[in-house]
Amino acid sequence: MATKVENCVEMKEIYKTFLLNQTKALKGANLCVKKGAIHTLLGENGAGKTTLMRILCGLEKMDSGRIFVNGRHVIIRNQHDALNHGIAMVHQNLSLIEDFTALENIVLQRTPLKFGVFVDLDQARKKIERLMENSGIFVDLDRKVAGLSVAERQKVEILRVLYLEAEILIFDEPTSYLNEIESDQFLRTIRKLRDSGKTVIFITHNAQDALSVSDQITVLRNGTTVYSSEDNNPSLAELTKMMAGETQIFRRQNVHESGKNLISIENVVLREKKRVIGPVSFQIREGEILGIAGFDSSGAVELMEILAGTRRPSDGKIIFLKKDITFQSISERRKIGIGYIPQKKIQVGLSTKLSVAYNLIVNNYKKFSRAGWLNHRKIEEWSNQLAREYEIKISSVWQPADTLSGGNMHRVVIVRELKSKPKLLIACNPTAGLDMKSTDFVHRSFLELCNQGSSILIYSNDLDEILKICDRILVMSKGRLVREFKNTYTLTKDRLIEAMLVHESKPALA
Amino acid sequence: MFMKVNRRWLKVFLFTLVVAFICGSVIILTTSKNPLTAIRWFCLGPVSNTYFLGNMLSGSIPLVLTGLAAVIAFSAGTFNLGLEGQLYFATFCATIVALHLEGLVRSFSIPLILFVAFIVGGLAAAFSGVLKILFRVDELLSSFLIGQALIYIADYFLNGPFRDPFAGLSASKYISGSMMFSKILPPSDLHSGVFVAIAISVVVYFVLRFSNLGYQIKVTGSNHDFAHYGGIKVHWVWLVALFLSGGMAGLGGTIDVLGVHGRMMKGFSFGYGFNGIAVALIARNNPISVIPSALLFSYLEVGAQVSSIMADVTPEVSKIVQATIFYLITAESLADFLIGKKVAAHGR
Repeated sequence: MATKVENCVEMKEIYKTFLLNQTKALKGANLCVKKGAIHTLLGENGAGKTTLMRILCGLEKMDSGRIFVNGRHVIIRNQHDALNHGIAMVHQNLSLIEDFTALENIVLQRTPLKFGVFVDLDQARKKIERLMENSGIFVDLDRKVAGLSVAERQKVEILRVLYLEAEILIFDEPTSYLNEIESDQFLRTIRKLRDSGKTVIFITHNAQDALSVSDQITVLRNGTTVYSSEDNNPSLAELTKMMAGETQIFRRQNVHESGKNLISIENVVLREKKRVIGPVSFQIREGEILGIAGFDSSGAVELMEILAGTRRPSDGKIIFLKKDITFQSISERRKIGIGYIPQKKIQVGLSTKLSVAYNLIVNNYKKFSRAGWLNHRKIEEWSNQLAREYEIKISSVWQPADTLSGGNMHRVVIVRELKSKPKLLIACNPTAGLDMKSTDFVHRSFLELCNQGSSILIYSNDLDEILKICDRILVMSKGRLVREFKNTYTLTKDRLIEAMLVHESKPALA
Repeated sequence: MFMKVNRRWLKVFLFTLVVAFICGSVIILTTSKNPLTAIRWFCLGPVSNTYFLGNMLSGSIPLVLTGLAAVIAFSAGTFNLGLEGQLYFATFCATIVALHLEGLVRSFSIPLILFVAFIVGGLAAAFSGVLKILFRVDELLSSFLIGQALIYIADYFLNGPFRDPFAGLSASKYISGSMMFSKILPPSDLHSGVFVAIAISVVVYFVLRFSNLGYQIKVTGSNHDFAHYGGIKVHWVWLVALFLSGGMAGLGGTIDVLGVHGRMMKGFSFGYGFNGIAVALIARNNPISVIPSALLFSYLEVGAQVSSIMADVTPEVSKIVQATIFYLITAESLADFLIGKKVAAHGR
């Protein structure tokens, strides 16, 4: 019988309510994971994917429900219990200590000791080298984490969990912050993990990723399991429908060809200790959406920061509406109509301890003030209206921002910048970590903004996104602009990637 | 939401109060020959008659102001460890000004003296802010070191040029009685400066909670990268917050001199600055809660004094009890335990 197939994890009828804002995150979710499989947990933001997995890892307590590991009913009270059952979550590059080497980070939680006192790194190194060979995941153990890329950090995290002898590895949205090539490599990595006998649970909102890598798929919607597959592979459209309940296809319609020059960047250079970015020159016209494609190491993020005003260029000029703004501070730039969605949306774009309302008004709080005093009733009304209009799920606008789900936090940042009606919106990875519905919504809002004559500059790791909404695309590689494309429907991702790699030494595609 | 937080704070506060007094009593029990009398004086001494009550209230006035000073600095995410020095130096300068103001109307001279104290204290603290902004000097260290230096500078002048030759200790001349706060509850030390302190805490509360400046301070204090990104002038906010903080400290010392001592004495302020930081931590950075927590500090101080006069207890008992309170109130998990339900770590 099929029941004899080893299910290494089974979660039955899991319920979870968050005390703080009384939201029901899970309403009877079920999950059944086969041993040695890649199991994808698919769903939109706020569907309860992360919560379900946090319960499995002992990071969260459930209201009711049962968990079986290898057929035995278990009670998981904390992370320790979970690890004893071989379950561990691979965190997103947040939990590593920057000043430690990869090796030190890996052994941090269970340090091997010599004579019971001294740290025995040699023994650990041998063990980890064996792990690397078995799993096929390699990192340079002696480099400091501060110098590692996001993708490499992820490998360190994986090794850390393997070192703790985890059998079931959980990944929470691992591809959000990876670019195309890194994502591909990552998917290959988890296949290797599966082949070495581990079980992988992979949380994502990306149905495409789910289809390309997984053996099993479970779809969550609004805290309940709406689909779980054994073998019959659903189509992309089916999956999307199950996640959202509707399918939406987006298409860019009007292309702005003529328009006055809004901003000119002239020979901007940034000199840092180890590298030089630039000289870079380009213009953005009014009503245009300009995309920049490039790896994180290409300097595109730094370029965005220079334009937004959080970083000073070493040389060059920025002319905005015929005015030199090179030396203007970010507050002056905000006043003349430059909005900014930063790369680090939660660390820089939000203050998580402050209330949602206070986060929403940071760029226009003066609108609510009279003679130096803020009108809190107006702030509340306005924030409530925004939350309703943009479907930010909150119980009160005065609840701290860190009680929101990740997707909702992103929405707060994006909504705030959209609402200030900037003449130029600078956006770094605006939809990273958002589900399809929210992404679609962001893209629509961007278009609407452009139709009112504003321009948008987008840097994104997601090349599909760039191809979907940009009028013109610049490709950056090693600090320089290498190609310019007009976005016609014949342009493909391959051509962009090819250009991105011009100055890059080809990454080893192991 | 803010009401809820306050009620929660009050619960923890009352609980720790009880535990603190039990703890103090236990110490007295083990050290005193006549423990029951000593405990009674320790616990009830400050409210047993109007003299002790007045002294207790007046002792809390400078603590309220230094507590507010610490609250303002903390709210903006800066650490002002130099409160003691700013208070001491500002009070010294204000006293010198007061000594040169003869024959002015009260209603003009007192505000002028307080204004001088505010400006001097503020500038002393803001200097650390300037160092932080220009040279990235950690204000925690610079304010402390500068503060200590200011204490020695003030002491030099108190011992030398400005010393009252007829005083038995290093102190300035007496300020003319027309410039002093009037006594409220003679013969105790309580003086009308208490109203100034209450008024200032109310003002600080409203400014931090409802004004533009308060908003800027809160945003900067909670995440200065975010504040900068949002267009708030972070450096300016730091400067203003440190200035206000130092100013408050200056007011605290000066009100004490104008109300109680009548002259600047060497070492009159011992501990006001550092206790102010403790008061702010116990008040969990809420300007209104600063008042009860300053009262508590003063109560313990007076209780220990009274019981050392009336029984055989050393005044240091109050320090031990203060430490106990400090541990209990700053222990977050205790608060959660007391509230009954543990607020689960919020999921993402």
